[in-house]
Amino acid sequence: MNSEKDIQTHIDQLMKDAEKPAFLSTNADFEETLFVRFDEIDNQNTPKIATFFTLSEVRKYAAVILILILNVSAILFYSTNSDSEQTTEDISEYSEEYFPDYATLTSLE
Amino acid sequence: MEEKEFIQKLRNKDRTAFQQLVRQYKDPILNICYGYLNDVDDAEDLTQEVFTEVYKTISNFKEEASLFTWMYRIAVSRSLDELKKRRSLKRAAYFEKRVRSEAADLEMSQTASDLPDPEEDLYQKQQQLFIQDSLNQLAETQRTAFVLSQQDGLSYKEIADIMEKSLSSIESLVHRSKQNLRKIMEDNYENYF
Repeated sequence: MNSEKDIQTHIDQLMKDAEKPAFLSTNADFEETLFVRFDEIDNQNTPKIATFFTLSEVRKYAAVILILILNVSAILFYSTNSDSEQTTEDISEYSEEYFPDYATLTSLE
Repeated sequence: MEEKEFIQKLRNKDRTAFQQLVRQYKDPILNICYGYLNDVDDAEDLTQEVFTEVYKTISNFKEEASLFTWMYRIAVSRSLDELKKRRSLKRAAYFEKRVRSEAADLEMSQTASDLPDPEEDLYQKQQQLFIQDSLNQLAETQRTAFVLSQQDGLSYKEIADIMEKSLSSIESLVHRSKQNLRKIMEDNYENYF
C-alpha cells in the first residue's frame, strides 16, 4: 500500500504533467486537407449564373407581347373612332325609324 | 505587415495569407483543443473545424479583439461544444470506444519489440486517464482558464481577453482551478492507482 507521502509525491508529478502537457503538432497533411475544405467552401459560394430566358423564349414572349399590344391598339382605335362619329342626329334618325312616336302608333288604330 | 492589412487579405480569401495564418496558429489551437478532448485525432479534426469557421466568418470579424484572440475564442467555444456533445452521448458507448482503443494500443505495443514495456505503457495511459477525468470535473470557466494557462506564451492578460474577464478574475480562476484539480486528484487517487 502506498504511503501518504508517496501519494502526495505522485500527485505533485501528475499536477506538473497536467499543467505542462507535451506540445503536440498537427499531421503533415493537415494543411492540404484544410485547403481542400476551403476549395469546397468556395465552390459552394460561387454564384450560379441563372438564365431567365433562352433566346427562343425571349422571341416567344416578345411575340405574345406584340400581339397583345396590337389587340389593345385595335380596340382603342375602334372604340375612339366610333364614339366620335356617332352623333346625336344619327341617333334620332335611328330612333325615328325603329321607334315611331306615340301619335303614329295610335293613328293606326 | 500591419494586422489590418493582413485581415483585409484574409477577407479577400487570399490563400497565401491563410497559409501564413494556419502555419502560425495550427499547433497552438491543436493544443487548446487537445486540452479539452484529450484525443489527438479528435483535437486535429476540431482544429480543422476552427480554421474552416475562420475562413467562413472572417468577413464578419469586427476587429473588436485581436485576430488571435478571436480565433482562440472560436477554439475554446468549439471545444466546449464538443465536450457537451460527448457528455450527452451514452457514456457506455464512449467508454467502450476508449477501452477498445486502449486494447488496440496495448496489442500494438506488445507486437512491436522496440516499443516500451506494455505494463509501463498501460500505467502511463492510466495516469493520462486520471488527469483527464480529474480535469473533466472542473467547472467550465476554471477548465478554460486552466487549459489556456497551459499554453506557452499566453499571458494572463491574453487569457482575460479571450475569456472576456478581468485580469484579477483570471488570476483567481487559474489559482482555484489548480487547487480544485489537486483536491479532485486526492479524492479519487485510490480509484485509479
